[in-house]
Amino acid sequence: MTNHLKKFGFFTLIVCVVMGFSGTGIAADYPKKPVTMYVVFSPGGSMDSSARGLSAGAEQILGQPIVIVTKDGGGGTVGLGVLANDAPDGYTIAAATSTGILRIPLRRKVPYKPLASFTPLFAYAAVASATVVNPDSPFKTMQDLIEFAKANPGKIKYGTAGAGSPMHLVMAVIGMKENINWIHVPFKGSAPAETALMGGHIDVVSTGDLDKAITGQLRTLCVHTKERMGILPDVPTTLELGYNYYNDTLFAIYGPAGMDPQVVKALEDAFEKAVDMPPYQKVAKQFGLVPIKMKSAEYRKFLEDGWPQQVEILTKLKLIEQPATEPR
Amino acid sequence: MTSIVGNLLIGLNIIWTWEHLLAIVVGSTLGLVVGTIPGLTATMAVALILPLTFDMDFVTSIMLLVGAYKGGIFGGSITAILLNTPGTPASAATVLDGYTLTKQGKGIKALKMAKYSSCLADFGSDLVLIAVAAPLASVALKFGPPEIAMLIMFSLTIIAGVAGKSILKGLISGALGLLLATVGLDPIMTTRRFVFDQADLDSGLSLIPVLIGLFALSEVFLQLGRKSKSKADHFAIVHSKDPADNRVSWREFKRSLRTILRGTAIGTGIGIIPGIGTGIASFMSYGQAKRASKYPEKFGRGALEGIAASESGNSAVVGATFIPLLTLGIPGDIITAVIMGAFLIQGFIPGPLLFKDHADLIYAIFVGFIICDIVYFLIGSVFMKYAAYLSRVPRRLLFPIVFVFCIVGSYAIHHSVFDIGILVAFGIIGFYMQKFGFATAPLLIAFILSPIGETAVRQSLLMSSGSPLIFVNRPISLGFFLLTLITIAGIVRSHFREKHQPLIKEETK
Repeated sequence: MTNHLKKFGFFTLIVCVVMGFSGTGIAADYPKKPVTMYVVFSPGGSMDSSARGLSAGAEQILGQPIVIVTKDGGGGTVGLGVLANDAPDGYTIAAATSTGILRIPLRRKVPYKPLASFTPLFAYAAVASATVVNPDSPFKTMQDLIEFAKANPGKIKYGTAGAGSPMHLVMAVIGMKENINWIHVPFKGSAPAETALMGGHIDVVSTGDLDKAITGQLRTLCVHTKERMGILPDVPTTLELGYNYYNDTLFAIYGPAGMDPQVVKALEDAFEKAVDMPPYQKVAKQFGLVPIKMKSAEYRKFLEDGWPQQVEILTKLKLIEQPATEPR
Repeated sequence: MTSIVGNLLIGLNIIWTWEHLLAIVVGSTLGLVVGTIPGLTATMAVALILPLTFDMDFVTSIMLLVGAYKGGIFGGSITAILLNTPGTPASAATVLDGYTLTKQGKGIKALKMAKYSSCLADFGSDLVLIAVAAPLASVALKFGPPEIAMLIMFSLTIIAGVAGKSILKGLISGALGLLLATVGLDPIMTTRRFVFDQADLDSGLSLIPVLIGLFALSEVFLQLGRKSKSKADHFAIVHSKDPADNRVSWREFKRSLRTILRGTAIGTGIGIIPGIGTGIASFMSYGQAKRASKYPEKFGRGALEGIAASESGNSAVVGATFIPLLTLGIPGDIITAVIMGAFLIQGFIPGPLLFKDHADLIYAIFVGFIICDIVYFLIGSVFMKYAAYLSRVPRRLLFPIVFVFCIVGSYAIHHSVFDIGILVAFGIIGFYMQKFGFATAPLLIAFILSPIGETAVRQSLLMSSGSPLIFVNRPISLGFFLLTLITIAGIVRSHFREKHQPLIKEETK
């Protein structure tokens, strides 16, 4: 093992020396070969599709293809763990959620330092989620649901995409504030939770897939976005209802720590333009994502400010006692 | 009924353009090729094609994806039969008899049986989709966590059917599969289990390397250890000179027809219920076929009916998964979830309104489903001719190639070197299991079923606040519970009877 490490260290040294000599040269004509982008969730979902849509636009700006490589598993932490050990030359980047930095590492140990292993490059979407019920449900508003739940402890069963998911946290925050005793049933993703809702096996779903909410196949009681959604203008937000919490999950592009500022600029500029291009816009609309443009510096600040806030919320909800991973 | 025929004629009119037909041909071919390569699944074929369809018209894009789905599931059977390497997890049960037949020189017969049963089952399931989609879909919604839990429990009894000579060893193998499936984050509270601080294990042992390791790599190891005796043995698989071994006779087909029909029914049923999938359907169909057969001892030793059962089971899932998608907007499995993405991108929202607003397009797609069955039957025939040449490659060349494919396939699924380690580990486990007379199929079945089962059991217990009565006071789950008890009682009884009677003599080979 030590021998192996030594060899690796020597190799890294050579790479560093070579790169030191040619550093500026590399940055100036970046990119001169295809860029590999890991997608840390399985194909076909909103993360994968939106990353593909975004890179379809960005590769036109960069003038080099972006090769998508799926590295899913562990809620996105497997792919981020690989990225943390890649060369920060701008030819390997990853599309991942902000939860891979801010939420999961708090609950279990991950193979990277959330705030030190990466260069946050660009956040391109805010994830929208909502609390939904069946159209024939007696609950017309969030108020109805909460009153019933208070009067009937342990009666309401709500489904989410998983324990510790943002959708679960929203419901846990509401439950804590209103002092409700309701039952959480985690599913593997929002779609199976909605299926169970439509079959009448559970009463409410806090969902991350808005397609059925948008078309009216399910009734939306509240959305978990910061502001009201354009496509659901009459539905109140959790903030409006008096719960000091919203789903602040972002989809973003990351590189390994220590990237050249010029390379960072080339990438953030390319992704910024790609947000306005049709391939991404189409996908964003399909999945109910809110397109945003948050550049490297601003996104880094978002993550650094977010860490202590998340620690506070998760400890309050008794989901953790202390962060499982050191941030730096 | 007449309205369905009328709608289908309108549909045929829409689909009958060269773009649509070309999409079916291209989709089926791509699916077939990708599905044949071990490690590249039908899911991957469909997910990779999806971005290409963004600029196509609606029917073209859906036909391309459906073609890839159907072709992919069928393609998995080819390497399963010829190389003991299921191209996709859906064909894992095909290996049991398929590779044995290949070793007996009847590989081409096996391939043809797979083709007939896949296409027939696909066709049958498509007819169900067209005729009675809506009423069936609402039944599927009745399957909540307790029902799924009991269905999986019932499916686990299949282990007895594939346990081989010793039920005890089969159960040990199955228990090992259940245990291995618990590695990773638990499905409810995301607590880490058996990961030993390896982040790579957080998402559990990946199915593809486990599958390829148990079946294909272990076979490579077994072949390495065998000395070749005769000249003919230098060829991995002897291409039979007897023409009867290269075709399926009408009598053989007729004998398997019941099995195919049963497989179609099981596959359709599993397909309608969201979240279960092709692999389970093929194992269930296999187990039921064995149970119903007059010659259950032949299963696993080269029974054509075994192939018919497995391949009809997995193919029938395909059409049926579209029933909840098109009627309720609920994708039946991961692949239909990807295809649902294509619907949404094109601005069509799957659900009850779709039938009302765009009946013509839906029926065009229905007709396309059936054209797909015919097209992949034809392409498959040509494709198989060349695939069959694999059986003429000398063993010393073939098995190194299979070895490389094993590694590439395991790496490709997550681009993970760690998965290659899993592959090798399970290759060794599979090798020793077979050396000591443990069947590997029970391990795999338990490994595939257990995550769905565990999730469903724990969700049910959350729903009932811990009371196990939830499994028996709902009619459907009670039904599956009783079926499970009856099946186990039957197995135990026949086991004891066999012990007191001399075994039926094996047919001379």
